[in-house]
Amino acid sequence: MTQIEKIYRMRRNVLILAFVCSSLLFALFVPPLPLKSYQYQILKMGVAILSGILLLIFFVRFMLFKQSTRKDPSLHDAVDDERVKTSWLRAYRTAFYVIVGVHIVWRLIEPLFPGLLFKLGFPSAPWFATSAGLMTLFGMALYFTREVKNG
Amino acid sequence: MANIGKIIRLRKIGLVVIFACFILVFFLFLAPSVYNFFHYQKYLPQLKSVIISGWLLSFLMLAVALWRRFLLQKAVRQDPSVRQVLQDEREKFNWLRSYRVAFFVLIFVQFATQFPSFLYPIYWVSFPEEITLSAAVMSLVGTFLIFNREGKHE
Repeated sequence: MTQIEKIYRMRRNVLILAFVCSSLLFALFVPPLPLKSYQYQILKMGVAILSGILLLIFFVRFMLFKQSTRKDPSLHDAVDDERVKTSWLRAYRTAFYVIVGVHIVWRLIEPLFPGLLFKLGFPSAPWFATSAGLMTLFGMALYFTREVKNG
Repeated sequence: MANIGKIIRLRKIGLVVIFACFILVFFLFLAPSVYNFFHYQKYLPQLKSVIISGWLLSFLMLAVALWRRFLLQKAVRQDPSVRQVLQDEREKFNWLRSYRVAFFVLIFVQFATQFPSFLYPIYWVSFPEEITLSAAVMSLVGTFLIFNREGKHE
């Protein structure tokens, strides 16, 4: 396996990790499961701790990835080419629309069904929208980068 | 060619107008929340009309944006050479870069609107979703105008 392939695989693993972590965070903010409240609290805490650990691993691996590309400029150019950059930018665009969409839906539901979101146990809009946005960002980056690899 | 120059100028003016109006919309929605924060339990009925004017202006701007898009599409359909000038790679890249900036602005504004409630939980401060949405459009259009100007100078 060449160095570039190794770096590609490392980046994909980092992205998968980030996606799993943000999905767990998103799962934390979905409506309550049919569990007793203390069980739900334990579950929430477990998910939060797991997400925190995964996030930490993600940062460490990301730093290692950056360090390995910084050592060799030609490797950096090969890995971070224009198509990869464009894929990331497209992922940002999708995440932007997801956050805007969540806010619009939230704004429409609030006056139509007052108190419904609170009763269902949803958090405030920013937390929900941010976790959904991050999940979309990493998921779309994975998806578009795969397109680049295949293309 | 003069036609293309005219279309580019019109598009720039349209974007500037949309940007300026969304700055106004942003402050129209921000003002009642800030007033409520500093004058707790002294609600002014006039604030309702400020919010309604914000809604009207944002709906009007969205209609203008859609109309502009329709006109541009029509111009592109009539003359394919316009497409090359209006939708070139650099322009697309600038839009994508603007989305990235707007994404981070959205994240920041979302949490900035929650911050007063963390600082003073005793007060009931409500920042509506409209603030976040207008900030999103404002940052997107504003950043694109900046990036596009950069591209023009290169």
